[in-house]
Amino acid sequence: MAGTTALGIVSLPLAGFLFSGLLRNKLPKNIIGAVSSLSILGSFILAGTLLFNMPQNESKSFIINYFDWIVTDNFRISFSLQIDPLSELMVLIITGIGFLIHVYSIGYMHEDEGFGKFFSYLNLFVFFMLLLVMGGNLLVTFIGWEGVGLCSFLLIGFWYKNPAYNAAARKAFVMNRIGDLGLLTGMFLILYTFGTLNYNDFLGKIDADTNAILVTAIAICLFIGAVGKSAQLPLYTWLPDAMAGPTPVSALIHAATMVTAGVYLCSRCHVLFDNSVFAQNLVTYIGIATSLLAGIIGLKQSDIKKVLAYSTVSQLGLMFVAVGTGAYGVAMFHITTHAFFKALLFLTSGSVIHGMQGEQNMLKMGGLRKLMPVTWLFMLIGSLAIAGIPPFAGFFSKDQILAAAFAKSPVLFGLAFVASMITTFYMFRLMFLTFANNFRGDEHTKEHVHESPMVMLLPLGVLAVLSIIGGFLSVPEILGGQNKFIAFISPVVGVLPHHEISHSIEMMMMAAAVGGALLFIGLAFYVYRVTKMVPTDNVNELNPISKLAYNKFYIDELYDAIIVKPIKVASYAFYEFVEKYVIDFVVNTVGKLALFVGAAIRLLQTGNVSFYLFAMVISIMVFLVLQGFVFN
Amino acid sequence: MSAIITLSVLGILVLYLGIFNFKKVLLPVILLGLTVAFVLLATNTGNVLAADMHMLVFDAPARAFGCLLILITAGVFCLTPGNMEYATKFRQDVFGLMIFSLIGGIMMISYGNLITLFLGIETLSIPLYVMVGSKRSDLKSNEAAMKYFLLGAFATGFLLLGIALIYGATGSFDFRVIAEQCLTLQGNVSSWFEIGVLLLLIGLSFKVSAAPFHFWAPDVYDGAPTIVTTYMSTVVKIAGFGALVRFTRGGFPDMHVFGQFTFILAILTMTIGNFVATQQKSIKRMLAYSSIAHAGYMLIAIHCSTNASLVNIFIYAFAYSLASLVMFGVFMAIADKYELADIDSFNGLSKKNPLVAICAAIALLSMAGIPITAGFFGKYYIFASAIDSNYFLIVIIAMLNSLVSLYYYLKLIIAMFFKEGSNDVSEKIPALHYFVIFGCTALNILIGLYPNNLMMLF
Amino acid sequence: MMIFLVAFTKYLIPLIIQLLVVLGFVFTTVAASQYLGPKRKTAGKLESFESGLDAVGNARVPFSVKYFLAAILFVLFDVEIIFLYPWAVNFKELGWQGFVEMLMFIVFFTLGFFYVLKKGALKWDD
Repeated sequence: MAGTTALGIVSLPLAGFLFSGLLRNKLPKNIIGAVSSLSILGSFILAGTLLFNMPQNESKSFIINYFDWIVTDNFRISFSLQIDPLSELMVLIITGIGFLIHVYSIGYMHEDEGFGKFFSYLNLFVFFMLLLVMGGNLLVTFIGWEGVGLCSFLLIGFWYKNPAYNAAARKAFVMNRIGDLGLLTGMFLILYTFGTLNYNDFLGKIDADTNAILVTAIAICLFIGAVGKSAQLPLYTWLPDAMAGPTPVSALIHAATMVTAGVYLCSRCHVLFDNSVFAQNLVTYIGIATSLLAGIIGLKQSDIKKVLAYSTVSQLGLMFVAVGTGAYGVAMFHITTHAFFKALLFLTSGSVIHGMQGEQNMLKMGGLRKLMPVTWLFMLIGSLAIAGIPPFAGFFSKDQILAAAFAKSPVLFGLAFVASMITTFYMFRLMFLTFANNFRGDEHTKEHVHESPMVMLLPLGVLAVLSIIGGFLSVPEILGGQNKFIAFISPVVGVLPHHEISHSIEMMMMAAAVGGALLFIGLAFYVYRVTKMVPTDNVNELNPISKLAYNKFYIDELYDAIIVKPIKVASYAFYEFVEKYVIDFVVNTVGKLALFVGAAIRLLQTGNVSFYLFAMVISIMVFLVLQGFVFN
Repeated sequence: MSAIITLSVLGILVLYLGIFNFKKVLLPVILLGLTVAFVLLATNTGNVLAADMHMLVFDAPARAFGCLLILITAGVFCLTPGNMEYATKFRQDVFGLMIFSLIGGIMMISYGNLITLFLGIETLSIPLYVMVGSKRSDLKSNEAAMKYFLLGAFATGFLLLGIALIYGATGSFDFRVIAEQCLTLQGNVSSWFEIGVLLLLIGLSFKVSAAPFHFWAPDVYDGAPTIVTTYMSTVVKIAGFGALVRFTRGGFPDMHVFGQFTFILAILTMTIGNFVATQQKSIKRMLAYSSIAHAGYMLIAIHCSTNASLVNIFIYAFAYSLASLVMFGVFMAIADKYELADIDSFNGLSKKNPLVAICAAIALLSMAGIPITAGFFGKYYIFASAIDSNYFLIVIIAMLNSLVSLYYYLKLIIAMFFKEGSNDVSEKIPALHYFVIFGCTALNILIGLYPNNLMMLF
Repeated sequence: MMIFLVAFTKYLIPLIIQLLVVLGFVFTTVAASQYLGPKRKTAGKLESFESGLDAVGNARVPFSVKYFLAAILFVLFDVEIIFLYPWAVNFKELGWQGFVEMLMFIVFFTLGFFYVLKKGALKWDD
């Protein structure tokens, strides 16, 4: 029963993909959009029914093997799906938010000529993403992993006529490939060490006695894969560029679901990290460094989507901090709330861009509150949620990350605190620049600014409600809650490490976080609302530090100089000398030789029967002589 | 045995149907008869007349090879509509001969006695000599028949001498007795025996066109009517290899009297076949040389005589025959009919008839041994078991050879897909023809996907 | 080396001597008959022997292909008839089973004969 349901969840989006992909030019847009959305809704409902039929065994999981896929003497890999609280949670997020974003896209993409193509890609993405999270072994996950990478590539470069967008798509793909290499290496190591890729089998075999170096190596390899997919240092630069894709794509793929796959993978394989202190520390440091760096860059960006992109990178960094401190449940919780409010933020920004006729530069906005009141309200909710103001969703999850960080070290807590304050500041900088004061664009644009249609606002409303109440899924004990959410997935990701923090300190931390957030909101209010300051786009007027942040710390340029350029030079050299004069020569000579030999032997085929008989007799004689005198 | 009787009756029936002018029902009757024979053979339990004398033994490999022979022959028959114009008056004679020849083939893969082996080879060959020359007005066809007959008779002589020497050394034609003697003597066999085995192998090598006994093949394949060439390059080859592997695996389970011989033969055959094929401009000749090359690969399995040899050769022969049927089918449909023979006649096929072009491409890739086709697994199994038995050198040479083979297979694919063809000929291909092309392609892919299932036949 | 020499003298020298003697005898007799025999060439003697009849015309005229066909068919059926002799000799021992088997054999080649007739292979003029 559950096996069929699971298969249904996965195959509905695939069916939607085939439907909209094959019939995209034949059917009207509305039908394509409706069918695609309904296929996702169907998956969501199926996943919902599964929620009430969760497996009741000890590990709360079951695995359905559909068929044997690769069978060798040494190992056997089947196509299997796994249902447990972790995958169930991810499925609900993917299909739920995926459905809302599909509905939103019907409005957002309505004028686009690639409407059907867009929906088929989107459905395909959901299919692969579901494979990724439901895979019962690493190989199935890997198929999903590669598949979402492909869909991400296709959707970033969706408007393929713009060369810059294509470059962004390529960049995302290459960066992801680097990570994939790590993941693949990890998979080979696991297969080599444990002889299986089934999560439950190899994770069950790891304990304190397992070779520590090997465990660390595997954990780091998987983490490299996660770094690529989840845009962490040093492979994060693709995500801001990925904003080239349509905004619903940014919301679904590059905020709510795909980029969290790395966090999901680490949580799924948490036993590896639990058994390797080094790997845990590495994850923590990379997470916090990414969070800070991305936050600082985000402070100076003027493109509304770029700000949100850096904010995503920064939030993902915080999730990895939670992973590194062993609080996997908290990381998953933050994925959930982040999916709500970041999807909301992206979609509202999409609504703004839609209203502004495609304009993304905040410096040319302003005063939109009166023109787009509903969008303003929803974005405010999203911003409050990400800033961690109670009772919005972000408050609960972020607070628990901070607590987990504090349990590890006060310094870490400090850094995470700073990162979250930066978040608050740039989010409200974005709010005020976009919505407050007077309109800064030209009159022509202003006339056309309009509130988005109902089909776009409805999903926004649902997401806004979720951003408000989402946090109550897991109210910490200290506030009288029961941490239900974390209890739900703890059978898979393990219980939270026991905090040695007294309630009073925790309360103080909470107060500090909220107070700090309010303080920075006030600061943003003062700078961008009261003094009506508008940041400049002119690089020369910036002070050196701002300039550094504005230029994203020249990380792209650095990569270009130390990696891309040398490779280009080397490949040029190889092409010009090795390829042309060595390889070509050898290959051509061998080819010519083969043809020459063929031409020579061909001459034996004279067509003369006497000669054939003669040749046969001679060969028989030779064989007889060889048989009689040489071989014996 | 009942299959052989069925086929004999079928052959006579076909001849008589021809005389009494029931030409319309010829093909249905033949296909029905082949089906009956197929079923009878597949369900044969082996306890009939000849088995007691150990003359014909229908064990599992014999049944598998026999069913394959009947299946491929049915394929060849399905290709006849539209390709037998040269023999409108005496079509039934060619059909009858083909069926009698098939009987010989079945005897060759089920013999338990050297006499039945010889009888099988002759029953297979004599109708062939006539079939090759059946295009009576064509000088090339006559020449081919003459050459084939002369060289074939010559090879038969050696085969017979070999059988006589083996009889002289062991005192029996019966395979069981010969094998027993080999076991008891443990290498102290008389040199007459060795020479006898060698001569017998030479006779069989001639049938499978292994170099240096291959000279007849290109000329005969080229000269014979294409439908007969199709039959020769598939059924005759399968039967020849069935007989060879039955001989090397059946009589002498652990003897290597023929070790060095097959080694040289395999390498020569692959190399000559592949290298000369690169030089051919005529499709028929190219396929002839490619068929020689395939014989070389199959000889590897003969050389590395292991328990897997039987099934390896079976899979390889199956894959090769399917691909050959498709290639000859396409060739007959689009070129041969219009008396074209050059590779250029395939130009632009993908535009004119994309489905057929794709099928032909799959067949060529299968011949070249590219996954996921059956041809890949055919090569893979043969190479793998050769490596298992530590025959590295021969596998390396075979790999290099299959690289060379890519050259001329791709040449055809390029012609089909990337060259502009003249659009003046509009093909009308009979339905049965399509059936063979698509059916064989589907079967080819199916085997490529589930190669293990074939193993269960053994 | 020694063994080889011994074998050479012991077995090969007699063999070679015999070979020489044989060849010498053949050559001498052939040569002697050539020289010693009387030679009288007359027209009648040089004519080819045709069972006592006078030869008429050129021997190298093409025969009709039908002649070969008829000849081959004759040989074929002739050979098949020969199988009847051993059966006739052992008629009693083989009994009814042998009779039935022989009947089958005859039916088969009658079928062949009928086919040949129907094909018109024996039709002399068309």
